[in-house]
This record gives sequence, C-alpha cells and structure tokens, in this order.
Amino acid sequence: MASVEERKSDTVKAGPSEEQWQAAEKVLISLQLARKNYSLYPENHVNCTRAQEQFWLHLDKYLRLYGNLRFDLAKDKLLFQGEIILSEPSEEGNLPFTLFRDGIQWLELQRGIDSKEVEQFLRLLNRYRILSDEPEGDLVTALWEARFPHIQYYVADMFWGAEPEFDLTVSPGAAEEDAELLEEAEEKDSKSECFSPIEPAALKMTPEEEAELREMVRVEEKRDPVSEYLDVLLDSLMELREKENFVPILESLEDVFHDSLARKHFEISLKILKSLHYVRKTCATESTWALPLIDNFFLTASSAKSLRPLQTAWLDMDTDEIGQIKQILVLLQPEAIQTLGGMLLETSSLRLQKMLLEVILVLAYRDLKPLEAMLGRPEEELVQKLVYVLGRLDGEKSTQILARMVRHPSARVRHEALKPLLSRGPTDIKGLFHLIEDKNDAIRRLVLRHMAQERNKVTETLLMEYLEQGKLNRSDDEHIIACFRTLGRCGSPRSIPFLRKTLLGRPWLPGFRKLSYRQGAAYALQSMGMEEAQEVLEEASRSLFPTVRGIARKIIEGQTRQRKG
Amino acid sequence: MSEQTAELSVAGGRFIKAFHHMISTVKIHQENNQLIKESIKHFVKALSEISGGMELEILLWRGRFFIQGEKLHYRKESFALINEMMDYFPQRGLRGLIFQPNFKESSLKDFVIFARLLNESAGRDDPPNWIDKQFQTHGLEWVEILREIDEDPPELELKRKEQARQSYMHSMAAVKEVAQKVSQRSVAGIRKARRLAQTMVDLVLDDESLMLGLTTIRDYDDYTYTHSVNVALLAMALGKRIGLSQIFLEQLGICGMFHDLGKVEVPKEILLKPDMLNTGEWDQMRKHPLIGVHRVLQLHASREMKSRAALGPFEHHLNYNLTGYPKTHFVNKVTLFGKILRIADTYDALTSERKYRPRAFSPDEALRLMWSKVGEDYDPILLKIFVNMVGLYPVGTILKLDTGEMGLVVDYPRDDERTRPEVLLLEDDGQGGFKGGKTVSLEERDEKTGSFLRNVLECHHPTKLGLQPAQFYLKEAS
Repeated sequence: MASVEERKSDTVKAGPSEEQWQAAEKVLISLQLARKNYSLYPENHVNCTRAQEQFWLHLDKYLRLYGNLRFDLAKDKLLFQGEIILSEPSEEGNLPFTLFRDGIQWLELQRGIDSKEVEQFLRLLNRYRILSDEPEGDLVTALWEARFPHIQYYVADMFWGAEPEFDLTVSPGAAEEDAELLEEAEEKDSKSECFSPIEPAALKMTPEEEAELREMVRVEEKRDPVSEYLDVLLDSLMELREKENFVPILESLEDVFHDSLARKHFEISLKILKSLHYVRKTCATESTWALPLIDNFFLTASSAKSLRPLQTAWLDMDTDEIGQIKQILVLLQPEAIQTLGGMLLETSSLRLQKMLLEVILVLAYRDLKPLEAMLGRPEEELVQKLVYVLGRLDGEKSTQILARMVRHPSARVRHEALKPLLSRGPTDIKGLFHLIEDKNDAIRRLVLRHMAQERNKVTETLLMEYLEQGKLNRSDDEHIIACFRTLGRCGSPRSIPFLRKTLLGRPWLPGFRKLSYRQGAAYALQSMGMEEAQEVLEEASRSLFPTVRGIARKIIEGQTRQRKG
Repeated sequence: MSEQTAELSVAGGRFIKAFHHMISTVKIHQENNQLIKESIKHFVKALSEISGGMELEILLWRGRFFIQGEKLHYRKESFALINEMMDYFPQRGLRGLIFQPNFKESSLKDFVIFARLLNESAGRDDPPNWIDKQFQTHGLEWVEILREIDEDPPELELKRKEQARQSYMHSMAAVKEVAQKVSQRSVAGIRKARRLAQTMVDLVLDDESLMLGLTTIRDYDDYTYTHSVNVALLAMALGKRIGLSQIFLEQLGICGMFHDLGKVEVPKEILLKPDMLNTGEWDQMRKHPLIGVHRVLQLHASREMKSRAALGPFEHHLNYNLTGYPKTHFVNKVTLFGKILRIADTYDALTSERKYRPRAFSPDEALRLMWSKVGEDYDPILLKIFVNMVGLYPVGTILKLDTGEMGLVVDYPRDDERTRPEVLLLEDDGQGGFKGGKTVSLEERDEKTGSFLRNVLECHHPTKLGLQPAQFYLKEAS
C-alpha cells in the first residue's frame, strides 16, 4: 500500500553532493515546466509531449545516478534531503500546495519509472492542480487508484481532528447486570441448537463453483452499474410515494437519461422513458400529484439541451441504433418537435431525416400545437418538411393549418401544403382558387389538374368568371389555354355559350390575347366531349374568319385522326 | 493481500524453507558435504532475494512469523515445516534474527558455523546469551539475535494496528457526519469516506485478520455507525476473498458504510423498541432501504459513485431469491455487491446485542443460522467463502476449551484451514475481568501422542463475559 510504506523508501539519507542537488533541481525545474505546459495546452499537444520527455530524461538520469528521489512537503515548499529546494506561496496551482493540500507528506519517484507512468502522473497533477468542486475525488484518491508502481507517497490523516473515540476496554453491554437475564434467555432460547453444525466438507468449493465465482467477479467488474442503479431508482419511485422523495429521484433519473444519450447507451434512455410511462400510469389514481412531476421530466427530456448529444452521437450510427433512437424520441412530449425540427435541419442523412419526420408525425398526432408553432419559423426547408408531416395528419385542424400554409411566401411550402389539401375529402376550391395564378408553375398546374378532375359547378363558375370578367393577372397564353382546358373538363353545357362567344363572338378581347382565348375556348369545347360543344366547333370550322376557322379545323382534324388511328 | 505483501509472503515462505533445510542438513552432514553446500547456497539466495540489499528482520510473535514486520501467510503444504520452525526459535529462547546486508561478504564456512551454533544452542542454560557470545567469538557480525523476553510486537504490526484503529474510529465518525448532514438536508460530500475506504482497503489487503478482528467492535450508543463500519469491513474482506480489484473494494466499502443511511430517519423508539414492532412501525422500518437510497442521492458525489453506493441501502435486505424488502418491480436480480452486503449485514446484526432480542448470537451460531438459509437468503458460493473467511469459530468468538481454559479467537494460522484457530487465552485480571494471556494455536499437538493439545468444548458470545474483543487486538496500539 503506497501511502504508508515509509519503509520501502531506500533513499540515500546522507547529505547530497553539489551534483546531486543540481540534478534534483533539474528534475524539479523540468517537472514545473511540464506542469505549466499541461496547464496551457491540451494533453496531447507537442509542447506537453516535449516537456514530459524532458522531465523523464532528467528524472531517469537522476535515478540512475543517485537512486530514488524523494521530496518532503510543506504547504509552501518542497524539501530535498531536509533542505528547501522549491519555495512557492501556498496558493492553488503551485506544486507544493497542490500536493500538500490533499495530505501528501512526502513523494518519492523510484527507479524503474517509465515515460508512460510519468505521463499519467503529470496528467493527474494537472487535473488536480486546482481543487475543484468535484465532490469526492482529489489527488490522493487519483494516485491511490492509479497504483503507480514507482511513485510512492505518504498521506497524513489530514481530515481528522480530535474525534471522540469510545473506550474499547469498556464492556459493550450487558455483562453483569444482565448476566442472569442472559442465562435465563439462553435456557429458553434453544434456537441455536436447531441449526445444524456446518460440515467442513460442505464448505469446499467445487471447480464449477470456482468457475462461477470467477465469472461473477468478471461480470461485476465489467458491467456498467447504471442499469442496476436505474432499477433501484425506478423501484424507489414505485414504492416511495411522497413528493419530497419523488423529486430527487426524478432528478437523478434525468441525470442518467442525459448521460445515457451522451454515451450512446440508448437502451438505458429507452428503459427510463418506458418505465416512467409505466410509473405514470400507476400514479393516475392515487398519486395524482406525481403526474405533473413526471410530465415535467418528459418536458425537460424533450428539450434541445437534453437531446443535443444525439446530434454528435448519430454521425456514425447504424440502422439498429437509429431504430432505437426513434423508439426513444416517440416516447417524448410533443414539445420535442421544436428540438427535432432543429435537428432535422442539421443532418444531411436522408435516413435520419426520414426517422425524424416519422417521429414528429407521431408526436404531432398527440398534440399539434408545437408543430403549428414551428411553422412560423423562417427556415423554408424546415417549414416545408413540417408541412409535409402536417399533410400526413388527418383532421380538421391540420386541414385548417394547411389551408393557411398555401399562402406561405415560399412556393415550396405552398406546394407542399397544397398537395395534401387537394387530396383530402371535399376541397374548399374557392379558398384555393387564387392559386391558379400562383407564381409557381407547379402549383398552378396542380390546382388546375385538380379542378379538371371532375365536372363541378363551383369550379366551373369560378373559372368562367375568372376568364369572362378578365380578372386575370397572368396574361401568358399557356396559362390562359390551361384555364380553358380545365374549364372544358370541369364544365357543363352551362359553359358552352361562354365558350362559343369566346371562340366566335366579337368584339374580341383586347390585343394579343385574342388568339389564345379563341384557342383556349376551342380546346375547352373539345375537352367537354359534348355534342353541343362539338357543334360549336363545327360552326367555327366554317367561320369566315380564317383564324377561327383554322383553330377549329385543326382540332377537328386532330379528332378525326384520333378516331381513325 | 496487496501485491507487495503477497510477494513478500511468497519470498518469506521460500526463506523459511531454505532456513529449515539448512539447519536440518547441517545437523546431519559434515561441513564439506555437497548437500550442505547446496543448502547454504539456497539459503543465501533466499536471504538475498528477500532482503533486497537491506537489513532483514525475521520475528516470531504470538505464534506467527513476521518478515520485515509483515505477517507471513503460509499455505497448507508448508505448515508442518513452519510449525517446526515455530518450535525451533522458542527452544533457543529466540524471538527472532536480524541479518545485516553484509552477510554477502561471509563465506560458506560462516554460514555453517551460524547454523551449527543455532542448532547446538538448544540444550544450553541461557541459549540467547550463549549464541550471542559464540557469534562474537566467530566474528559473525552480520547476524543479531532478538531475545524472547522482548514482548513488543513488531513495529509495523503496531503501526498497522494503530492505523486500523484510527481508520475505524474515523470511518465511524465519517458515517455519522454524513448521516447527520443528510438528515438535516445539508450538503454531504464523501471525500473523507472515500479516503477512509481506501485506507481500509489497503489494510484489508495487508492484514485481513486484523480487520476482521475490528469488526467485533460494538457500541450500543452508536450501533448504526459501528454496524455500518463493520459491514463495510466484512464486505471488503469478502470482496478481497473473491478477487475483487481494489477500486471495487473501495466502492464496496462505501456501500457498506452508507448501507444504513436510511435508518437515520427511523424514529429511535422504533429502532430501540424492545418488543415486537406493530404493523405501522414495521412498515416504517421496512422503508429504511428506500430512504437510504434517497439519502445517497443527496450526497455530493459523482453519478458513478452514487450508482454504486445506492445499491447498499437498497439491496441489503433483499434476499438471494429476491424475497425480503423493499418490494421490487424493476430489479430482477440482486447484484454481487448486494449479495455480499446481505451476508455482511446479517452476520454483524446477528452477532450484535439488540434490544429486541434476548441475546446476541455467538459468531458460530450466527453462521449456522445463516447457513440454514443458504440458497434462499444468501448466495451459496458467497456464503461458503464467507464462512471459510471468518472460520467456523470467527474472530471474536469466546471458546471454552477442554483444558478448562477460556480463549478468544484472534486469528487462523492458515488461509486454507479454518477449523482450528489461534486463540488468546484469557486470564483472570484479579478485578473480576479478564486480561490476555498467551496466544496458542489449536493446531498444536502433543509431541508424543499426536493428539491436539486443546479442543473446543463450547462457544460463547463475548458479551457473555462482558468483553469487547477488539480491545485485545488493539491493546498494543491504543
């Protein structure tokens, strides 16, 4: 045991020679330099490596020449063979104080020390340079755990003053005064006689038992204690139904949850959430005060801070792990959507994006509000993805939000919102009609295609009014023709007079749009597939006006070709 | 046993064997015999190896050899030889020998003289004086004798006992301090406790018997705290036996120290109630493991430490087959730490005087009682090792011997044989109490008949004689 083995020091006790003193000083100076570098740079920085090598070289040289090197300690100085070799104020960070503070009385570096041991030693010195708020560890504990074979030290019982001690020579209890009672009790108490003696043979370990024991120890030393700790915490929650006890246990669970995510121990994270859902159920009747506490746990677990470790963790995750994360995330509160939305933007992996969207979908099913709140975010890509999720959610509320989203400034978002809107139930076409003039071609096509799907009076009226009253803001031929074609598909005989008038009538609509209107009307009539419409086309093919005649004939010829071939 | 102590024991065993071989060979053969040369060569080699160029002290104290102050542990196969050497020294009035580093400069002839003089001294009037003079006459300056009259224990032994005693007291104080702080809802760190656990690990590794002896300490005013430290020590000793590493032994010690932290919350009227507890009181009592977990969570400690330390309170009343308390919903097996603590906790509790019991069980009764529940309440393998560790008559047991003597079990001479302990014979101190006499091994046999000199008739709890066994172990230290 390193801390008490004063006898093991074989340090030369005679006064040092000038050379020996200088050699010890060199060791100390290089140690100080190494400590300085360790405090300034990361441990693997070249300056640290160099300084460590220098220290080891000086130390090795000293040990080879003079044997073990021992320093005695005071709070503000290091003594070498009884004389001060280093003096520094007793302040945090200084070498004598760092060692002295934790109770080390002397430190000895022994022959055989290698650079690896030196490196670890320097790391520990640096780590405990300043006594942190770290609750349980200190340099002495770290040295004890490290069990350096060539670094010995002696520690004083620095914590202890004059604690009261009980007198061991005093009888612990009932000797004389209770002697009678004891004898009586012994007579009555024949319990012990009931227990058979233990046969020495029964105490022999079989080879199987020895193997089992070895395995038990191996597993114990290898296992992560968190799993059992978790069970203990959860059982405590189940059995300790007082608010005062509940809160710290939940706080500890929170701590374990965060740690499990950071360490990619997703099975632990999952177990916590699943178990807490179970605990919550059991509280539903008698311990209702616990429900908001548990909900608050889930809320905290759903926060960006809590889930942030996932973003670094999933850079190299496999499919199984992604599956585990999905299971974890769906157990969170819908408020997690805000966090997940952020994560969605920050990953380029399609697998992860898909998983996140599926989770958001599940969470939004439980409560739409967090998702709705996210739709006001400025990131177009995010909003588009969230609208995609929204589109997969049934219900009036989601339809309302989608309808709102078709007015979003981003065409991608509008398009994303429009698709599901058009696909669900009876569509409020009036509300969407403005989209036939959308700047985005795809949106316009989508709306028109939708309107063209069936004969519909509302759609027909809207389109007729739109075309007849010259309400168009768009003036391109393609758009006008597309609108007429749509009218042809959704319209009824009611539209034929308008189409006839557009194709044959005069005065013509102004300027360059004349041709496209006539063409559009002709296409609409063709699309209607009605006898009356065909008659108008026939009539037009006989028109005195070559343009009208040309348009109509072209369509009729097309029809003829189609019939033949 | 720490690695260094273990190495010393192995080298010590070789040294004693070489010593024995040398004196036996010299008895039989002439100086120029090849066997003598060989045996001395082996002896010098063993001496060089163990001394490492320093002074070497070999000492016989209370029936045990100490080399460089370390108690020598030995195995069954070397026991007969060790026994012979244990007779050899007292027959010559010797308590020990000190070899100076300059033995290396001596000739083979010097060693032959040394061995012959030791052999021949047995029949002399004042053997130590005779040896001393003969050594001087023959110029054997590299060896000194220690006389039997000097009853001081080895210095290191004393030091260790003092350290053990202090660690025990400090640990008790640390547990008390933490318990009081958590009870008052103030911040309680465990730095002290960790440092103490580390010292105790070192002590358990170096001298298990001494630390087992300490577990007989009882204090009825502060039962919970002595019990906590005792459980920690017993658990660490068992942990050591099964080969847990020092880091895990420290954690096990912490678990033991804080396993009853929840008791602080149980009203004293319940804890000390002499009668059976009613249902409400029992319910409250059964909550202490859970409250203990809660208190551990309040400690200012790392998550890792808490995750280990919480097992102590939670599992120490859980049986091997998961019966016991608290009720479990998520826990589906008892951890190794929990199984160890269950054994240590029960053993110490059974052997302690409690208000609700007419008397404490004697250590051997406690073991028998526990053995009757092996496989149900206790892990069979661990309980087996525990019984082997504490022995059929655990340290602290009072034995009535067939010689009419009373003795206190203080140790077992061998690690692998735990039926015939070493006992400190108790003598009347003339004031109605007892004082320690000489230490004898129950393995000692009558040279003529071969039968054991002393046999156990009965076992008693030390309280029957009003004894605090630890006072006898620690007497020299305090």
